Amino acid sequence: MTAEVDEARLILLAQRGDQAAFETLYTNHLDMIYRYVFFRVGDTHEAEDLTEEVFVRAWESLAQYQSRDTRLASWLYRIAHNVTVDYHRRQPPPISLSEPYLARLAAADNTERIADFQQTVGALVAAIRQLEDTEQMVVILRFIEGLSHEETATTIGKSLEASRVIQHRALAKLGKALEGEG
Amino acid sequence: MDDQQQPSLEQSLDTCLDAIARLGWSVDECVAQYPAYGDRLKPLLNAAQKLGPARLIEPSTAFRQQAVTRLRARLLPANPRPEPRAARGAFISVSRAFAGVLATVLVVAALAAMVTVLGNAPKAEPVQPATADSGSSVTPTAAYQPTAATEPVAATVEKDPLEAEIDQAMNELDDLNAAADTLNDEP
Repeated sequence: MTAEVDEARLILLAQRGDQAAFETLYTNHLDMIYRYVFFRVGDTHEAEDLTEEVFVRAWESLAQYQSRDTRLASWLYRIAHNVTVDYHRRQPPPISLSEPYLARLAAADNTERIADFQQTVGALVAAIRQLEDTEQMVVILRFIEGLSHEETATTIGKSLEASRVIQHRALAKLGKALEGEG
Repeated sequence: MDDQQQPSLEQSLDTCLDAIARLGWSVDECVAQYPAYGDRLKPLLNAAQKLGPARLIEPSTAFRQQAVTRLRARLLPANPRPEPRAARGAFISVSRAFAGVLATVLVVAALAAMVTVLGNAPKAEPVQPATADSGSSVTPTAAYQPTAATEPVAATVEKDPLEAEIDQAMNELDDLNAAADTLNDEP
């Protein structure tokens, strides 16, 4: 509850032009937006640039954000989705996946584990990117970001039932794509 | 289970996913709850389980450390500000500019008025005290006549509109400065 109040206060300040408040919101939501973008583009450097782009766009349109209608996270995910859609329109998908995916593993200095992990994540990225746009959204939000089904449905702008059907279809496709993995 | 009450495959899948994620159930435990869908549920739940490692993805340490600085650099050149604030900011800027111009005009007018008043000062010569040896053409008697000494001063106080204008201008200037301070103090 306190976190929500704090976030509401930061949003209000940011909407009044307080850049420091917005920077705090950025830091608080950096990881989740980065992950979302990363699984949409499959490249760490592009993910960094596009994550930044998400927050630049968020700052520019923050005046239009209504907290009573949408949670900030949902609103940011929608911007992230639009940013990645624009990115895919501009460029073809990268052919190979780029290096370190996980700072924590790198810090552990476990080379073998890092290699395994990169292979696993590479397969996941490839499988997710075979899905349709909305299926990707559902899979990332629901199984990577851990959103509830209600939050996921709200974020993608679908009914709960429609979102469940998309989830079912996406998991069936992923299951086939990931056969032999894990 | 009655067919009418039996949840759809999609609903069963959703319930199982939540039970696994939030209650720590295993795939098999959940599948056992829905024998009618068992064969179809299991591969879907297994696929969802395989996404687990993806949650460990995070930005690199270097990016995290530079993130705010990088964002700040991108926000500053365009200097975008949310619209309501921008509108207010524009109003304040115009108000300040207007107040500045008006203040300048008033100060110039005030100075001009003061110069005029000082320029009229010689007309008040009769009120200046004269000494016996001053060689003044004004006779001592005339110089010390009450009427001659007080009339010009009284005339200045009561009749000179310039001084009144200066006072008014200075008051208005004070008001404008106070208004500008208020605008500056607003968050």
